[in-house]
Amino acid sequence: MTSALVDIRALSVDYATHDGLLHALRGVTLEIVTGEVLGIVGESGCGKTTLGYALLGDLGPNARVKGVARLNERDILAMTRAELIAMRGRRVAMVPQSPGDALNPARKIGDQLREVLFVHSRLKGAQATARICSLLEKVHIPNPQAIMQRWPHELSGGQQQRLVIAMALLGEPELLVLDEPTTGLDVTVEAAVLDLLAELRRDLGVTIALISHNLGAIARACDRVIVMYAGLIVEAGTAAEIFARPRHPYTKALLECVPRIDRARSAQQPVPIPGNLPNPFAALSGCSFANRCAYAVFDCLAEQPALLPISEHHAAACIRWADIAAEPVAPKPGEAVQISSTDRREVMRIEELDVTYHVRGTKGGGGILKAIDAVSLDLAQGQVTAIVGESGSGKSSLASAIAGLRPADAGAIYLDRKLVHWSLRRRAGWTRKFLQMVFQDHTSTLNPELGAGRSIDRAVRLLGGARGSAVRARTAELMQKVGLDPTTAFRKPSELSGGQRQRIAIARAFAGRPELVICDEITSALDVSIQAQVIAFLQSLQRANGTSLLFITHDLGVVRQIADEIIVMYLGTVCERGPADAVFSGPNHPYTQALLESVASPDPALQRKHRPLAGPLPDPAERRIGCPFKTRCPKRLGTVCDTTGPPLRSAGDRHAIRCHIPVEELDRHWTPVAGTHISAAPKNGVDNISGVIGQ
Amino acid sequence: MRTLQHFSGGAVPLLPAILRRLGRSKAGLLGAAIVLFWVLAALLAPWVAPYPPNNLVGPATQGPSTLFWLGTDDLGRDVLSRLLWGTRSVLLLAPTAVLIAEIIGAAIGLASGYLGGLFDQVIMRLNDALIAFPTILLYLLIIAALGPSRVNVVLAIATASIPGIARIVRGVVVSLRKRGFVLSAQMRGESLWYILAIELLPNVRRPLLVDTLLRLGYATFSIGTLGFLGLGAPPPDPDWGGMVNSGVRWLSVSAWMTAVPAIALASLVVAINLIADAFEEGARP
Repeated sequence: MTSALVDIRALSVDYATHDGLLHALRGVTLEIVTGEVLGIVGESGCGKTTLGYALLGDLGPNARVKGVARLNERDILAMTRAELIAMRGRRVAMVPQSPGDALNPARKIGDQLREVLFVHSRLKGAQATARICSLLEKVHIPNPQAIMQRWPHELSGGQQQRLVIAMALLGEPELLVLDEPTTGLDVTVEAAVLDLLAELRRDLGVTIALISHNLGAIARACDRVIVMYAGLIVEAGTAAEIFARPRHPYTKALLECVPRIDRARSAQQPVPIPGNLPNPFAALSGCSFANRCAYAVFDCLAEQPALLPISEHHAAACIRWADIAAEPVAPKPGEAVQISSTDRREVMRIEELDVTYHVRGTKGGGGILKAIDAVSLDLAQGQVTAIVGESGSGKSSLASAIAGLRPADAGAIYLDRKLVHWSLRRRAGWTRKFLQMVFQDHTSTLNPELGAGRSIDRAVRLLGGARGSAVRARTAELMQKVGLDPTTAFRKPSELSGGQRQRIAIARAFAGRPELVICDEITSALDVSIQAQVIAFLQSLQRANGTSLLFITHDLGVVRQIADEIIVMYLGTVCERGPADAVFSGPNHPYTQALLESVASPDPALQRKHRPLAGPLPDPAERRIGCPFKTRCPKRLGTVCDTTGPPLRSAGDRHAIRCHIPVEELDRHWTPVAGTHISAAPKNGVDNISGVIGQ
Repeated sequence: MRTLQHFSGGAVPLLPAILRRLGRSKAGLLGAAIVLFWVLAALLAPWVAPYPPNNLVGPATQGPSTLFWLGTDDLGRDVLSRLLWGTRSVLLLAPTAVLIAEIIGAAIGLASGYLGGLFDQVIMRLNDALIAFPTILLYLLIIAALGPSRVNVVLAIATASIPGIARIVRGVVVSLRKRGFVLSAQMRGESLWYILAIELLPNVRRPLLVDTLLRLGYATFSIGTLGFLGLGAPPPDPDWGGMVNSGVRWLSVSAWMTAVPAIALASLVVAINLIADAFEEGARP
């Protein structure tokens, strides 16, 4: 065995709070070997971040710590303040969650970097600038000299993340701890950040601990993975082992929650994990996962199983690991979905819709920003159409415009084949019953000062037309349909989890049996297991009522799971549209292809080569001529792309691509890297890949 | 046992939680005790005041004695009796003025913040115009125009307070109006009245409550000022500010006449501010 950089033995961390002792870590034993990338994965509240801060010896004054945490043979927990200060940044550095908060908005980027460098190595002046510039180049920030003169808010999310990583590297640490580095980033940016980590590890030899709830990111970046649940490590092993042959039911359940773009829709159903995390204030009795586990037997209630090795590269804390091994992670067949859209009633149609914003330029002058540029689409009854694209693609603006919340500036909106006004206020009453919306942010979707069930109640009255005791009955029924106990209605929204709040928002939207529901990024802030739950309830309500959905998301996995039709947007325009199976099997617009390639699959054996997109999204306020994607397109033809808007070409039945390149010459995205393809579940007879190619 | 009917009801109760936390603050409790003392003094004045407040009961400008515990004023009236009776006017006028201002200010702020656009622009510019006046000048203008009386003192203080309150409420509402719960209410066709009163108003309760208390202290002080300038209760009725004013001329003879009402006024203002501070802590969600 190679030398262990970090050696943690039986580490327990409890936090003293108003409500008692919160058990954040319940006895964690772990080694991090020099030069490896270790993935730490689990739902929110599993102790991942606490473990990360324990590595820095920074647990806060209310932490009660037991156990040993050694870094290079030195006990972090026994260090004096001076020793800790000397260690942080130079031996262990942390890249905290949300890079936007980690940068001081009132100081220029260069000043912040210089300060960090000065603290670590007393470098000043030109020497410091040179060091910083070389590091910024290493994290692929273009034009470092200019960037150092800028303010944090002037950078994109991806650039901020690179910058914070560079800042952490200024002290040349041996161990880099990254806390959710890709959360909140677009898939294309996420892929680029993960590439950067691989490069840093190769070039600088830095050891990396990557904390994430994104199983795809972990699979793409890590050598070894530990899975945490309720403050314990429940499974540890090499990434290949864990993702191909999980031996703990929690790992297996998590993997089943993840929507996969490499599986046909008919082969996957969202499989939520039932129940909740155990109470962090209570001591565990029996296995922490037993109450949610499909494999639990009576013996599981006896004690928490120890993390025991089951093979050379794999350990699991489950008494039934051998039985779990017998069932590989296999796609569960979903209901067969009938798609025969030809003779179905049209529910919504928009024609040449424009949404423009008047913006004040930073350096004098103003401009017009076309958030939506002549977008047309239609939706048949019972159809699920997904709109995908990076942030800034205009997908949320499109949702607001259709809902009438942000009136459009040109074009026509038809609901139920009737022309309706751009503005919600001036639409007829029937449209409110017809069209409802579920919003992105679960923290503000319910009024914090009113009971949680209040808005369902009002929707039942106003849209469902119920009166008197029928209101209560219908509200209770709706809450049960989204898997909530009707008494949840009395609780304050702050007492509910994000998933519960989002389910209430869904119940509220379906209260008047609408024909069309717009879902704007409704799962983007939720854990995968919660996301699966929310999607499952949404889907059951949608199918039961024959409702059409306009599903806006940046998560292509979710799209694969629920969409009949896909619309890919870039800078306010549609660059590709078509039936889901056609879009996932290609040929694709170069932008769609980049998106598809960027998705990190939770299977290390299926990692695809991807070509990173050049640069960030261009300033949407700039006047555009030619193809909107020309600045980042890896297949740019030449001047024709700069001067002429590309034509919309047919690529099959209802599948259309807006590109100058003829459809026959466009790639299919599915190009597995030769030699790395190992079928995850050969015994089961389900070949994941043929499932897609056969479409 | 609660029934499902309940969630058609009002907002999540706020006061019990705040009062519980107020109970934990020593400064807040001290403030509450002082305010309670003055409230009792106002209520019990007819029984505890040793003399009728407007009667000439002894020699003028006396210091404290067993007959006149806090001395007598320039006309030979009992300072203690006048102080106790004078409590009534302060404790009645200040809360009335603040309550009127909070109701009107909140209504303006809610409508302006939620509706936005030209309406908001016009209302807020008018607001700015009012704020631009020095407060004391505004008081004097209003009272000069309407004539000195208790009602007009209330009106003057309320008018001067409205713009500040409207601004606070508007700020909160602007930050809320694009939130999911407001958009959802719009999408299900709630009336303007419902959105303002049921969805938005409960969310401005916390800042409004703290503002009310801070403003109450300020209004108390203003009433003292106006009384001092001779714009409070018309003579011979007792008025703390008026008592300070009439005492100032006799400072070299007897400081008691000035000190007693001044200290009383200060203690009331400080006590209300202590409660406001404790509320501010307690109102944090």
